[in-house]
Amino acid sequence: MMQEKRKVFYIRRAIFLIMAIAVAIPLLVKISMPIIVSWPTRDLYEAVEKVPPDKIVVISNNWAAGTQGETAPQTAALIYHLAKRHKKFALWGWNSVQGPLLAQQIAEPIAQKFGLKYGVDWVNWGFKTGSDQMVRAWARDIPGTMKEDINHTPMSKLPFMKNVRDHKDIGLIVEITGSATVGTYIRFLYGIYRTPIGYGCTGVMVPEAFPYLDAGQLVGMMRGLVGAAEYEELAGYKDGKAGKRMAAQSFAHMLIIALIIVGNAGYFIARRRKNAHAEGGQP
Amino acid sequence: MNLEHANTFHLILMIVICATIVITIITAKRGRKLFIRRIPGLSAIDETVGRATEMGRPMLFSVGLGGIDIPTLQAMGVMSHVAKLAARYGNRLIVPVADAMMVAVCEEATREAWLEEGKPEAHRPEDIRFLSGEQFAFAAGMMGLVIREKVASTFLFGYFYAESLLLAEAGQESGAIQVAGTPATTQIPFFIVSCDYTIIGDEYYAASAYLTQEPTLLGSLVGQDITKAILLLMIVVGTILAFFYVEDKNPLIQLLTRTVGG
Amino acid sequence: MLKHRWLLWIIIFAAVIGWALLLFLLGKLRSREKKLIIIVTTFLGGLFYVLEFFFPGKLHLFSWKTVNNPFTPFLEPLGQAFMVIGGFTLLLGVINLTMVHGGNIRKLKKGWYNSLAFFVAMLAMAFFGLWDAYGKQTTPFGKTAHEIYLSLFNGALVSLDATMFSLLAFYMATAAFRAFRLRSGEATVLVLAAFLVMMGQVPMGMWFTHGLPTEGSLSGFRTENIAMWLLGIISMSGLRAVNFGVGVGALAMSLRLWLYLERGAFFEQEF
Repeated sequence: MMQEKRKVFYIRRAIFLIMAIAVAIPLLVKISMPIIVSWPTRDLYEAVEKVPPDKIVVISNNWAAGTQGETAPQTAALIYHLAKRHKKFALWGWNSVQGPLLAQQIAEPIAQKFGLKYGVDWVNWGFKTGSDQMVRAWARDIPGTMKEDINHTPMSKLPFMKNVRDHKDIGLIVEITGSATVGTYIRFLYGIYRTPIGYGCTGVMVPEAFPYLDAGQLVGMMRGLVGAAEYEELAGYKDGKAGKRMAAQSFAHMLIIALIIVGNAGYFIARRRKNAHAEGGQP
Repeated sequence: MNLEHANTFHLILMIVICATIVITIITAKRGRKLFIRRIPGLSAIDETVGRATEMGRPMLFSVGLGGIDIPTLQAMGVMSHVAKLAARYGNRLIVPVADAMMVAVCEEATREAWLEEGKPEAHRPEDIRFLSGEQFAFAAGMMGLVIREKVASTFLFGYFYAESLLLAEAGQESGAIQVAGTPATTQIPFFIVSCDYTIIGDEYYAASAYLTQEPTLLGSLVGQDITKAILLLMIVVGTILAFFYVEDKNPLIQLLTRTVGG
Repeated sequence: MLKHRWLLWIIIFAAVIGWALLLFLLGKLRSREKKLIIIVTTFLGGLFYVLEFFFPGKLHLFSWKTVNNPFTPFLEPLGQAFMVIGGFTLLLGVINLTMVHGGNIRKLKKGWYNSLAFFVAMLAMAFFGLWDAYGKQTTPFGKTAHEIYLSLFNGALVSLDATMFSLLAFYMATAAFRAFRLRSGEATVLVLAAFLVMMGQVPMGMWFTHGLPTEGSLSGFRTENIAMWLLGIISMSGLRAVNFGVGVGALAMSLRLWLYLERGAFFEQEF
C-alpha cells in the first residue's frame, strides 16, 4: 500500500516536471506557428470593423489576474485593433476590481503608439460595484451611473463623453471575462436594446457560449488563448503575446494526449496481466 | 423579442409552468406515490459520512463561491443533511465559505443541525471559516485546509468556477472521498475526473427531493419533468414549422412568430 | 439632492436607530411570529419582481390613457439597497478571519507564523491601498506608498493569482493521465472527442491535416473543422439540453422558496 502510494507520488511529480518543461521550452526558445483563424474570431473582428464612427466600443473587463494568461492577450489584441482603426473605446468592469486596472496597463502603451489621447479617444470608466440592476441603469444613463472615470475625473469634464449618453451610442460591447457574466449583457443589453455583444473568455467557458453564438445573441467570440492569437493575426498585431504562447499551448496539448495514451497503455497491460494471472490460478 | 417586460406568450407560458408544478405538488401531498430513480452521488452521501467517522477524520463541505442565490441555497439543503449526519455520528464538519454573508447563514444552519440531533454543545462555530472573497485565494485556503486537516470526505456543492479542479485534485491527492454537484456545466468535467461521485445538471436540483423524500419536493420534480416535456414539444413543433414554412409567406407563421416575440 | 448636509446625517442616524429598534423587536418575537414575517416578506419581495416583469412597460388602458409600469422606478433603488445590506457583511469576513488567525497566534498553534503573515499582508494591503486611493500623493511618503501599493498589487496579488490559475495546467495533466481510461464504448468516444478538440485548438494539431483543402467537402476533415463541429453542433446541443434542465430546476426551486413550499433539513428550521 505504501509502495503504491509512493509510486503515485513520484508519477505525479514526474508529470508536473514534464509539463513544466513542455511549457517552458517554447516560451524560452522562439517557436512560431501558423495561425488558422476560426469563424467565431473572424465574426468578432468583422463586427468591430462594422462599428460606425459615431458610436463607441465598450470593453467590459470582468477578469482578474488569475485568468490574465488568456484574457490579457484578448484585451490587448482588441484594443490594438480599435486603436489601429481609430475607433473610440471605453473600458470598464463590474465583477472584478482588478479588470479595469489591468486593462488600463494594457491600453496605455497601445494608445500611445497610435497617438490616441486619453479622455478624447478612449477612457477608462473604472470599476462600478453592483450587478444586473446596475448594468440596466448604466444602459439607460451611462454618465449618470458612472459619474467619474478611473482617475476620479467627472464625466462632464471628459470630451469623450460629449456624445455618449446611453446604449444607443454603443456600437458594440465586448465582454472579456473569466466568470459567467456575459448573461447579464445578453439579458439586459441584447435582450432589451439589441446592442451587439462580442465575447472573449477562457478556454473552459467556450462550449457554454456556443448556444448564444448560434442563436445570434453573440456576434463573435475569442476562444481563449487561441482566439486571442487568431485575433492578433487578423489585426496584424505582431507584438502580441498570444501568438508566441501558442507553441507552449500546443506542446501542453500534445503532452496531455501522450499522457492519456501512456496511461491507457499501462491500464491495458495491467488488465491483461491480471486476466492472465486469474486464468492461471483457475483449476 | 424585448426582454425588459413579459409579453402575452411569456405570461401564458409562466402560468402553465407554475400551475403544473403547483398541481403536481398538491397531488403529491395528497398521497400519490412518486418514483425517483437512484442517483449514485446522493446515495453515497451517507456512506461517505460513515467512512469519515470510522477513520476518525473530519469532513469538509463547500457551498461554492456564490452568495445567497438559488444554487447556494440548494447546496445549503444538502449541507444541512450532511451536518445532521455529522452531528449524529459525532464527527466534525468544516465549512469554508467565500462570501462573508454565508458565514452567518452556514453557522446558523450547522447549529440547527447539531441542536436537532440533541448535541448543541458539540457544535463548533470555528469550523465555519471565511477564507477569502477572491476566487484563487479561496482555492488556496481550501486546498490548505483539506491537506492540513486530513479530511476523509469532501463535499463540493454549489457554484464553482475555474478553481474547481484545484479543489477536487487537492482532495483526490489527500485520499478523501469526494462527492460533487454543481449547476456550472463547464466545471462538471473536472469534477467527473477528480471526484468519486458527481451530480450532473438537473440532478443537482433534485438533491433535496432525493435526500428528504418529501412529497412536496418529489411532486415538484414531476412538475419539472412535465415542464421539460412541454418545452421539448414546443421545440419539436417549432422546428417542424420552421422547416416546412417560410415565415414571410404564411400568415399563421407570422402570427405565431409575433406572439412568441421573434 | 438634500438642501442641507446635516439633514443627511440626521437621516443616517434615524435609519440606524430605526433598524436597531426593529432588530430588537424582531428578537423579542416568538418563533411562529418570526416565521410568519419571513413568509410574508419573502412573498411580497418575490411578488414585486414578478409584477414588475409581467406588467408591460406601458399599459394602454384606453385610447387616451397610458400608464407606465409602476414598479420599474423602484428596481434601481432596491438594487442599491441590497448592495448596502451586502456591505454590512464586509466586516463579518474580516472579523471571522481575525478571530481564527488571532487564536492561532495567541495559542501558538502549529503554523502560527502563517497567521502572522496573514495579518501583515492584510494590513499592508489595506493601508497602502487606502492611502493610494484617498491619501496625499504629492508628498515623499505618498509617492513611496504609491510605489509600495503597485508592488503589492502587481508583484504579489496579480502574480499569485496567476500562479494559482497556472496550477490547473499541471492538475489537468495528472487528472487526464489518471482518469481517462477506455473502460467502455462511451469512454472511448469521449476520449476520441477530447483528442480531436485538443488537436483542433492548437497549430501543432492542425498541422496533421494541413494538406487537406480549406474549402470543399474534404475541408470538413481538417482537425480544426472537426473540433469546431464537435464544439458547435454536438457539444452545444448537449449543453443546451443541460441548460434547459438546470433552468427549469432553478425555476422550480425559486417557486418553492417564494411560496414557502421548500422542505428539507435547512428549510424547516424552527427559530
